[in-house]
Amino acid sequence: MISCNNITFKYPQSDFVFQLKNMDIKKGQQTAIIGPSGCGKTTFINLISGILKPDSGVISVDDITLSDFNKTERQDFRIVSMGLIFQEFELLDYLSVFENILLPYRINSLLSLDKKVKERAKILAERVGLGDKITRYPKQLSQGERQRVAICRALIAEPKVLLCDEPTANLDPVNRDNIIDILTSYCQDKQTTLVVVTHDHEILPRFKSVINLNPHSS
Amino acid sequence: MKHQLFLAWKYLQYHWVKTTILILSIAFILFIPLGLNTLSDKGSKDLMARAKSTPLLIGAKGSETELALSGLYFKSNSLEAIPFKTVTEISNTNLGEVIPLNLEYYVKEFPIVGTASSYFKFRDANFKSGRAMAILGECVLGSKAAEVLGIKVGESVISSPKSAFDVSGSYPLKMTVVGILNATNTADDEAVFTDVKTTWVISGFAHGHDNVTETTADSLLLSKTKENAIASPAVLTYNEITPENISSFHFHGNPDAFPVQAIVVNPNSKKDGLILRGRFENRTDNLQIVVPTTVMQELLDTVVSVKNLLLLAAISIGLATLVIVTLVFSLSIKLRSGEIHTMKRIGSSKSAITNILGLEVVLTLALSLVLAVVLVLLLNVFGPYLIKIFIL
Repeated sequence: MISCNNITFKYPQSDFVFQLKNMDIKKGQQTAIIGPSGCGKTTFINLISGILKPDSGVISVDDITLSDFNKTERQDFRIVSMGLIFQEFELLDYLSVFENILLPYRINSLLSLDKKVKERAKILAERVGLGDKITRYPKQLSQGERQRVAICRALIAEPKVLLCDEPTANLDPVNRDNIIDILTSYCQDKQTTLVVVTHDHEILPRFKSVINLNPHSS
Repeated sequence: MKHQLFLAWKYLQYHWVKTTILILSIAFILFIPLGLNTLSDKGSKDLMARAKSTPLLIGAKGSETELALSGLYFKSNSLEAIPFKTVTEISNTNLGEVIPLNLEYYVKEFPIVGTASSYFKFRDANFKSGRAMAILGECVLGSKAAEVLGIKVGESVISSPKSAFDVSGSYPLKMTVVGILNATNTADDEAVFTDVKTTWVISGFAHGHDNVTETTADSLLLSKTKENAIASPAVLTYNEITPENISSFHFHGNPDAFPVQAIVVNPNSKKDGLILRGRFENRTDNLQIVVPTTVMQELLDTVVSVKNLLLLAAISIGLATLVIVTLVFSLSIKLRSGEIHTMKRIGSSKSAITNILGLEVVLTLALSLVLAVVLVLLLNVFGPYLIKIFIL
């Protein structure tokens, strides 16, 4: 499903070089990515999501060589095939819960917003326990609720891959477990490939596969 | 584009305080020059139309503007009076139609215009009901005066004292309304027309009372001989002219000396008008003749100069506002860099984000323009009223 071969990436005006020899994540697999701060966990997520383009090497997602695409093609591929969840939730404060969930459909014409999608948004909100709060705004929600809205937004286009960058970093243990439950159960049901970057080792037992990006690890 | 418009609208709606302030600022900046132009254009048209229909005005020497404004709009009662003999004198030249204007009194806020019945023909005024005044004590109301006073033909109006403390001044006179004019959207709508002699009754130059030569009540007489009777202050003058007492009304003094404030002259021809103006050029008495169009044009030139200054100020303020609005939008974009970054990461194209931000600006400008146009339309409706308040 996700395949990386001999990846190198260097940020301009930085000494840091991200390197990854080989890595394969199978379809439907639930993988946690760990590693010390500064080892390139977020860079890894950005590379496989197409936000960044590797300087060398090949990244393939669902048999499509993402690293050959230009920026627009990567954007289009990302919005159709991938869901992204960020540490800071990154909801739009001027949109309600319902409108935030539907955001991907409003910012890229490849996705077509219709009644079915709206119905799906309501079902997703129900599933994460926000069914009665879809008209509320992010400021009226708790941290855990905001992250659940971000999850719904990432899942609304029914992505093949769900990429999460420290999704539980700002949450208390109860909310953390709740979010991991939602993510793993949804991906289990839909056979969605789940990649979670985390520094929280307590959640590692919930994943079948753990990849350590520490260059010194065996 | 529909979805981008939706997101732009949601942003403006959520930040409604900021949006409202921006819309109001831009709308007022657009409205000031547009409104000024509308107001001055409308004012110019109205002022010139009235002036064009009044070829010449004669009055006491002094401010030409005040004479023109008083003669056209009946607004000033501070105009120095000229003797009625001037009316007779100009009339005798046969150079044109001569219409006196006595502008001393009011019925509440509506000026009493002491004139001749020929005034209505001169102004091409039509009667909504009734007829022109024919005898002493009758009056004709302009449409708005009749509406505001709630008076119909057959009812009466009472002249107001010049001032609350004017105990020795004019008596109020009850006048019978015999006609109401159609609306003309001119100063005539707010006037109470009566014969110039009726205004002299209000002034006290004429009055009516019981015949003291026939009375036997001593309290009403200071002295009485076979030839003459001298009335005491106990003899009451009538404050209403009725068919029963009209014959008792009489003038004291020489009518040639009775006052009028202005004289409208409608010359028979351009040449007659020039002759009349020429004659007044050489006069050494306290009289002047003005051409209302010339006076109004001078007044409008001053208004235009002021307007141009205001426009210059408005443009300067507009440019400053534009800079501030640009700053507000650019700061807003900077503050929203996180949101823009999120949209990019999710999969939004750069053009979609540019469209959303651009549509926010377009929506704000469009709403400002709509508000400015609404304000200009309102000014069109209330413009004449504002001109009356601020210019006349």
